[in-house]
Amino acid sequence: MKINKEVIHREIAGEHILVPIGETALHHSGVFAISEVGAEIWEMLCGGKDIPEITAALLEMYDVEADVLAKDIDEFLNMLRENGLLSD
Amino acid sequence: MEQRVRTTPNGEPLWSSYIHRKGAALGLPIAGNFELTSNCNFNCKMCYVHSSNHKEAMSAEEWIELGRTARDAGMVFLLLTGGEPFLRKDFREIYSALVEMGLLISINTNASLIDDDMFDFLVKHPPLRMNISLYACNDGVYEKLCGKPVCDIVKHNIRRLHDAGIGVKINASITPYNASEIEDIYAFGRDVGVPVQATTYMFPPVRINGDQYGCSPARFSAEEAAAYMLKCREQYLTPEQLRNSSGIPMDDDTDCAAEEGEHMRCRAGRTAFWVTWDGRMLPCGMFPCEGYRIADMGFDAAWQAVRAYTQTIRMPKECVGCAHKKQCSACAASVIAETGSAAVRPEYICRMTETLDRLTTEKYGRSEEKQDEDQ
Repeated sequence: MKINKEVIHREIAGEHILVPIGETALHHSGVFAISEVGAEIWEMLCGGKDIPEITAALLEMYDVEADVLAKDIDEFLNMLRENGLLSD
Repeated sequence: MEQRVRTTPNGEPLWSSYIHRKGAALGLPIAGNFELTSNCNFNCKMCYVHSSNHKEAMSAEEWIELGRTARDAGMVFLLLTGGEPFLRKDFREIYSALVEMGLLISINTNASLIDDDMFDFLVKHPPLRMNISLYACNDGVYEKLCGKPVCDIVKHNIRRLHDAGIGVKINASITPYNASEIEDIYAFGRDVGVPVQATTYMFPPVRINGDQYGCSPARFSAEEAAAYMLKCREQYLTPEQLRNSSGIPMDDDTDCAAEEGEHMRCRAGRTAFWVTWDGRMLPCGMFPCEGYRIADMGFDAAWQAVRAYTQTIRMPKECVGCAHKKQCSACAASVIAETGSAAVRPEYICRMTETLDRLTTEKYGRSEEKQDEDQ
């Protein structure tokens, strides 16, 4: 998986956003507001971690069932793909 | 474990409103305005900025550092304005660095200096929005009002920036010099597909006129301003919409107005600040006050001083029970510019609001909802 480098993650007052810059901003003017968990996933993607590594890390961090987590991660990654923020 | 994801463009305004509310509760400077220069290549009769060739008071490095400090304090939105910001030879350096910080940047410009190179640069590094002043659709009027016959250049840039996918809004200040252009400006906006925000209310330019409150040589009488404002609204509202909203906010920031006995309700000094070309922080650019020098105090102390100053401002007592209260968008800055005090009834704005309400009602009638409000 390859993240779009024209995206900046920011945290403001506990809120997380992804800000498209460069030509990516032509297609997505504004911001993507994401959850704290989404921000964790994004940062791990930026750090080069794959899905099994991200899943294992989040299971350590949060009290959540593995199948629920897998579904949430899948939804988040699909959102990133649909908006051009992530490619396979 | 909920994944909460909202995307733009539809979701962004919602998030913007949310983060401003949260920022207000926490005292964060969510929105900044950087007046990059006091110089302008235009010489507009109604403006507080006039053609000049001053040395820039703040270097590119200083603006960039200020941007970084403000971002770390919570700034999300940043408006770059002037003067004419594209007059700065180091505009690209400043802008690029601010974009890389993840700030959502808008630019106020007259669009006359955007050549092909700058156009290509903006397409590669698009701002969130460009607010472009369009004063007329013919060069004769442009030259009369602004001193420069650049109508075709401005219109060309509006069209090609919009076509390239950059968000563009047309700002139209309507004065006695260009009142004949209202229909053409709106027609151009419709043709290109960009919104037009026009106003016939001109702030007295007290930033250059000292204490000449209420004096504005290039504006209409209050009654004329109301009549032309109605003409502006007729360009984009249906008769039904006009019947339902006989008053007129002076801009589209509908939460900008304040009530008597209350603190200011607009974002100025609550989640928004303005930095003048020479590094003074104000609640907003229209405030005729000295402000707080950031180089002396530091950003955080200047922001806290602006917040404290804003808390002291009260609007006129006469606004209590005023029949036009809901339709009036007099703000603290405009009241001070009109009268010298935020607590004194701004006769010009009152007359403009009353006249607009009357003219609209006479021409379009009054909805049942408005009649209920009158009770």
